[in-house]
Amino acid sequence: MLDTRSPGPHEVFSFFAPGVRRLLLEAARLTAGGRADARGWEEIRLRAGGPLTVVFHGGDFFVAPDGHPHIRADRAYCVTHGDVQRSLELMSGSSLYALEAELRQGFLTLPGGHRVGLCGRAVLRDGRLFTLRDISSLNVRLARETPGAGRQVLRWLLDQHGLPHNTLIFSPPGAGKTTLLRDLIRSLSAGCPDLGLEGLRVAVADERSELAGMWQGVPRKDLGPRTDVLDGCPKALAMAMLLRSMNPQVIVTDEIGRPEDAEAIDDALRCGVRVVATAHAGSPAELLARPSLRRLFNGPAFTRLIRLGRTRGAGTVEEVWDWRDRRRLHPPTAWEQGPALRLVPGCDKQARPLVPATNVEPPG
Amino acid sequence: MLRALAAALVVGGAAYVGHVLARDLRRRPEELQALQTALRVLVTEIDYGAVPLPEALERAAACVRAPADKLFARAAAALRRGDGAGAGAAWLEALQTTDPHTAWTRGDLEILSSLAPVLGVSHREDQLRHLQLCLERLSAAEAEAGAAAGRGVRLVRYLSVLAGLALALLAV
Repeated sequence: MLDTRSPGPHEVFSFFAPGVRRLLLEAARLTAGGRADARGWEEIRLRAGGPLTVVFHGGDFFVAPDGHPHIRADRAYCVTHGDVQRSLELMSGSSLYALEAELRQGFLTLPGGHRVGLCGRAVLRDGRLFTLRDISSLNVRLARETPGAGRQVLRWLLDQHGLPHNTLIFSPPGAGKTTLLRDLIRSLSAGCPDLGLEGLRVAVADERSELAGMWQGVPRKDLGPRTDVLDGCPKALAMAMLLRSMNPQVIVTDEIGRPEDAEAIDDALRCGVRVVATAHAGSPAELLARPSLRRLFNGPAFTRLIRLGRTRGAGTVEEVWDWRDRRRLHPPTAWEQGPALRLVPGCDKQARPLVPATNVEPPG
Repeated sequence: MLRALAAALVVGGAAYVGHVLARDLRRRPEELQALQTALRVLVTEIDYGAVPLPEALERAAACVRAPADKLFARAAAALRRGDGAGAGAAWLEALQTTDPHTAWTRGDLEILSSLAPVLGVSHREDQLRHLQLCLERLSAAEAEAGAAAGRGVRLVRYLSVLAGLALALLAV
């Protein structure tokens, strides 16, 4: 497993409505050091008329009106429509009109690369989604840091020239693809002399502003010294622009899936550039079953596949494939212990209480 | 000679008072016009640039003179403070701390405060609709203020000179 941890969710608390913010702060204080330690929080969910919910590795809990974590939804604080609207206003910097493209895609990105998924009422025009209104659900997915995670998988990714193979990282949602990719970018850009990797010029097509955590033109994530980021641009267009303008050695992009993405990757590969990307799929078979991606496995495209999972927490490297030879590189035999990949302390599967006894104040 | 000089001073003083009062009457349409200019800048920033609200308010403030510039600058500063107040609260705060010496009436401020619940919290078309409505109402208020000022300015000037003459006749 990767050492997958967020710096703590506190930096996103300021984007919640004041009442919700207070509860989250109290919940974070109470769970510190426990199984649901705030550093292991993965999502914070607000549903108008529903319970305030925190998702962490190994489960979720509801936040009671006094901030205590609770497993029963009927004891939880009931999020109001006003809480959702107020939070949305804070998340958009009181400029919702400036985020119409994001609303159409159903998410916003907060400073630090935290992604906020949105649900509400769709407004259609000419049969196409114009915008979302009456937002009723917010799902804040906390961006994580994985110091050294990229280095751990790099040994399977480098060829004899010290360049990365064309690599596709895939998993179902929420298994740590973006987190691993971000650290991989940093490693490729900075170089790893012990692995024979010199720093490379990396160009990132960051359509969702998640990799660099770009906020109003300023990247909030360190992606290494030789990295250029094209932010907010559709991936296919961004890759073509980066190829023309930035002379990259490696192009990186997140969550490919549309036919035009595959076409742009095909183009990049024929230009002598290496590509590292991610996609949603549970297995190589599922990848091949996606018509838009299938073409990438027939030609010179991806020669390394990394499957992530959650068997030992988000970011577990389940398999690494040499796809050219259809050979599995990791684990050599089924579920043999792979590299030392570890999850957040407090997120193991031991049955520990949500709230450590030491964090509960004595009555009175 | 002294009497004539005193009479001239009284008439001149009264005319000056009339001029000051007339200038105050002319200020309201001018200040309402400045408000509309600032709002039009805001419309442009939102419509064409999709500029975030604090920056859009600052740009609007930079394009007009006092007291409209202060109103927009204060709203931008309140938003940038980052205490989670939100655009509506920041706008109302700026309106409530408006210099009491402006020529804006309570009605003018009410037109502006109608933006508070909607500013920054909806999609672009909706924002533009609300801003356009506010502009139309301000324009009507300006027309009404302009007509009132036109009548009032003449009246105040005549009355002040006549009052000065009457005072001079009685006193001198």
